[in-house]
Amino acid sequence: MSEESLNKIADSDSAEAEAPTRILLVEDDPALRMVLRNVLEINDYLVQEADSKATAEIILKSDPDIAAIVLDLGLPPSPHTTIEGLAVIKLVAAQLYRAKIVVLTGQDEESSALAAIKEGAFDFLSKPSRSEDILNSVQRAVLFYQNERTLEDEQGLTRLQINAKVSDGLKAVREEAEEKLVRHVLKDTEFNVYQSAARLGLKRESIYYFLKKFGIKRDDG
Amino acid sequence: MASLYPYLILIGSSILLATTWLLGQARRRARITNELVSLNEGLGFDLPDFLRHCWEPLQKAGFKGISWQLDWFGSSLSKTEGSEGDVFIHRKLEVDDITLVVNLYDGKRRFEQRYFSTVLSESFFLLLYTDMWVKLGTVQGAFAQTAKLSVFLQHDMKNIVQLISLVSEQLESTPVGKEEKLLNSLKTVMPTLHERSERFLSTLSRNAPTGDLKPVSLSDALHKTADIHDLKISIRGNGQVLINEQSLNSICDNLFGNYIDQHRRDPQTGPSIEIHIQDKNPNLEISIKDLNGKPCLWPERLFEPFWSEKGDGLGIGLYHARQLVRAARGSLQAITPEDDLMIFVINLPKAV
Repeated sequence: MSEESLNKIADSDSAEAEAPTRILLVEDDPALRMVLRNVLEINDYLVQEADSKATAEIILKSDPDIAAIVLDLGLPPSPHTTIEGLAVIKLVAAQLYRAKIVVLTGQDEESSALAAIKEGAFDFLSKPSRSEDILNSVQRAVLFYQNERTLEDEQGLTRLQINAKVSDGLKAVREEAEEKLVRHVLKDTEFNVYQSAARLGLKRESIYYFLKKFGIKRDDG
Repeated sequence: MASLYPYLILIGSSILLATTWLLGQARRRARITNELVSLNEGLGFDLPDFLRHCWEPLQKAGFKGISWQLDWFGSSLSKTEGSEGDVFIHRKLEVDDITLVVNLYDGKRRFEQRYFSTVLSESFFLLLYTDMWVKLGTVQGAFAQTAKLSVFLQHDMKNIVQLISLVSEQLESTPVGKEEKLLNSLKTVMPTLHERSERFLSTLSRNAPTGDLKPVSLSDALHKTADIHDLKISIRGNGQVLINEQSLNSICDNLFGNYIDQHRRDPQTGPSIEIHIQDKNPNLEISIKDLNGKPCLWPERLFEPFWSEKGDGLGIGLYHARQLVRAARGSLQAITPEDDLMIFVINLPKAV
């Protein structure tokens, strides 16, 4: 998508753009976190900070309208591996948060980028990156977030991310899509089975069937 | 009965003589074994060197000759000393990239001589095998430590470079009206950056920072480091110690870092550090305890370099802290009761 067309979409969403866009900054280095926060705040983003996966999870739960996450993959208690950072990306995917993830990391670039993208990251930047690149990436992430929200609100379209392995066949893909869609709708209806069934055009019994089949519990969302 | 006495005396004397002789032989072999062990130790457990120098004690033990071929990380070495013969003990020892074939030539031995010869040769082969493992352990350990250190330094360095690059960009193009915000952020960021860079350097050099010894207020230094880590501490007592200020900051940083790491694994509560400073002339004793901590499960490993509980840390923080305290003519100990909180006790020379 070109810069110009992105700007046009941004203009059309001017009403939404007026409220400061929320960004979650997940970085364990306090000095770097402060400077990054400054870079984002100077550009009119509303920034929340987390230094670990646990803190990020709490913030995401309390503020589901976060548009983008700037994420360092190396987080405590294992800051020299990508384990915790990738766990944050998995968490965002599993909990169906709409936030787009921009990875900013000093970990081994090639393998980390591949793993991050596979888990559902929106963009990948390696440290050191220029603030202009970080801001461009965050801006694109926010625009995608906003447009997905618009499509969802106006046309009822929901974007699902599925990692499909062709050799697994259609059944595996269908099941993953079913699970994600059911989880998504249940989350939106605050686990109201009646409303979820109505939205999906199913009987309530079918929703109970999916709950059992995929092991979905109220706490998951 | 009396007629048997001469025979009994003869038998008893023979047994005594035989025992004395065997004892003498055993002592002689033990001395030679000790000589081999000392030689090996003196040569720093270096296998090629030991092989080059082992013939003299072996010769004393009555062996006729030795020949060996050593494949030492791809290089071939071999030597023959003494004379070769038909009777020999053959041994092939292999440890990873090291292979050693030894033939130890011996004369025809019987009874106790054969036993003594076997005991000594087995001790000799055990020394050779130990040297191979010592070398392999040293090499593998060095590689593992270098790789670990490199990952840690890269991570820290990339963060430092990222931080400097962002700060420079901000300084170059600060939007109008945002100057004060930038200045306030720099006031917080720069001490942290300074501390990070010092830690980076000390990890790299692992030497005590150079500089003058001067009186430093313990309370000030502890509070300064705690502020950088955003750590809650309470201090009873105060005093000045004679130390290089950078060393003291690094000691505090390593100790506090250890507490922070503990809580990162279990983020329910943060550390709550209680510090007690007492005058123990001519030193000041500083006791540090985390009230939200847990008993230490690995007391013997605390100060072991490159060891970390979950394998995710560099494992030189506490080791480095102890080195720095020792360099300041002090001591650092950990009191680790099985079912109570761990206490670090530091003794440092008091500033007069």
